Amino acid sequence: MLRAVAGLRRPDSGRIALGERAWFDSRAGVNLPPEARSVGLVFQEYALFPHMSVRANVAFGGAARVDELLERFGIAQLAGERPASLSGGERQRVALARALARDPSVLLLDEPLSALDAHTRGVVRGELQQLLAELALPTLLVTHDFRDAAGLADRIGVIVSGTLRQLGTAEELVDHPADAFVVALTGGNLLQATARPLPTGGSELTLDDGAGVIHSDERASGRVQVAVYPWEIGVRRADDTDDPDETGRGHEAQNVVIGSIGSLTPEEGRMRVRVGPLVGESSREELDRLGLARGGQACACFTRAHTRLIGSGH
Amino acid sequence: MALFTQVPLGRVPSLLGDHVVLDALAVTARTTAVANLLIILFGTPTAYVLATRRFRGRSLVVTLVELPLVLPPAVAGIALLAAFGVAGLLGPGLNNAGIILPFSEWAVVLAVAYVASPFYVRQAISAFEAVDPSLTAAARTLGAGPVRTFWRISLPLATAGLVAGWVLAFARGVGEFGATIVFAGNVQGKTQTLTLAVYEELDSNFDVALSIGVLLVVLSAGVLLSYKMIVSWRDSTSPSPSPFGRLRSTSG
Repeated sequence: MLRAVAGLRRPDSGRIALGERAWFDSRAGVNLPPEARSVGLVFQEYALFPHMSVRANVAFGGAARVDELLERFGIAQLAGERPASLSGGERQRVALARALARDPSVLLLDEPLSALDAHTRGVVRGELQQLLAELALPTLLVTHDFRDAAGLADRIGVIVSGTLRQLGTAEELVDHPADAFVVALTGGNLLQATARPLPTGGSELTLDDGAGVIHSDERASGRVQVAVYPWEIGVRRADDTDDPDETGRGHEAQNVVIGSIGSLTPEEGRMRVRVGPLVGESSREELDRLGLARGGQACACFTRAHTRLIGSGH
Repeated sequence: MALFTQVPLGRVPSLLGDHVVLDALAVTARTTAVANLLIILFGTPTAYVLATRRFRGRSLVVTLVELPLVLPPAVAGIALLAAFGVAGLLGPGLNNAGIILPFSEWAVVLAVAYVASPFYVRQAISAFEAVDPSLTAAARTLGAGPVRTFWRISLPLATAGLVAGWVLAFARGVGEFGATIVFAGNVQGKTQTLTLAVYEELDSNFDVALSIGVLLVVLSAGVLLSYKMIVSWRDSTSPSPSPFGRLRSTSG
């Protein structure tokens, strides 16, 4: 998609325009070459010119602002180096500086973080976040990582084999996932169930594989898929379902799935706990306090409101 | 080896002073220079187009370019004669324009260029193909047109491969015999190159022939050596494909 916008690949049909100016229009027969489009494309592997110094790389796009850009990206001391001697993070900064040297109207980022190892990834994501906020330049970013997308983008389009599945903010995608793919992408649990609408509103869901019966505020009947996010699932002792505040109404509002603890994975200060078919979240202290460990029984609790149903039509 | 034991080495310099040898050397130098210039001038853009564009009939063009490689040189000579000879395909037209190619120094140039060009073009195609397409794409998005992209990105990054191909073409051109003798003849001072002089002197003055042999062996060994150096130089710089960049960064 970025290549089509940049003019490196010719789409079969459609229209690509910036404001009023069409860069590509299959009907009007418009197809500007890449050099006539005002884009700054940062390639996945950065595509720095290996036979040029950092300075010459940046100057290739436009010589006027080279010093300013080298300074801004903190690579002025690398100006005489060749790309081969740079680290991944440094290469990315050179690639960004080079793309901006042309003063583009649109910034295109192709998997900007995928060439980095996990260690530098988080740091560079933060840097990029700040940079994009400062630039206030329309930016198209392609990534396979929802965390990158959520951290860097205002709006996220989910594209699966060429078709747009959903377009919205990160919150919208999580709150109302359009299909199973979006649930998986955003890191949610996906359960298969058979739904039965209740006369009182909402529905009763019989989970497959005998995992239990839960409820949702949404109405549905027949085969459905159920999405719940780990951060909405609390983990408690299996014999602790009789909550002090359980007054009947609370019981209805709360779903409980009991299972054995399959795995415990530390994740950004929290612990991811697999309970039966679900992955929930807790803190290490809480798990220690409850005496929960791998192999033991536990219950995963989440509210009916957080039990999202998505049509199984996809 | 036998070449060096048979010839009285001390007499080689004086034998090479023979006017037959000097004439042949002059013809070889002139025709090789012009032929190689033509090969690079026409071969480079041809190779670039064949390496970067996919079009109908591309493989046919590649086959035509490579044909002289497998064609017996004498057949190549006859083919050139059939094309440019007085009675040939293009002969009458050229004749009317006052150009008679066969048995002239230009005929030597054509024969050498025809036979040696595939060595350069083949190597040049793979050198251009080895340039990462995302680099040329990046140059385009940075505002460089196709011409600037070629001069600033493709050509510098392919240089080592181009030089390696040119060395092979040069060597093949110097050793050219069959096509030249058929198309250009063997006239001393006009179309007689060093290899043709070896053939001529074989009967009349065997020592002169041997001396030229020694000269050509030394020349060929030098060419082979420089080729090997270029190849190893290129391999050692493969992560950063420009040999110049590597040299500068280690010396500076």
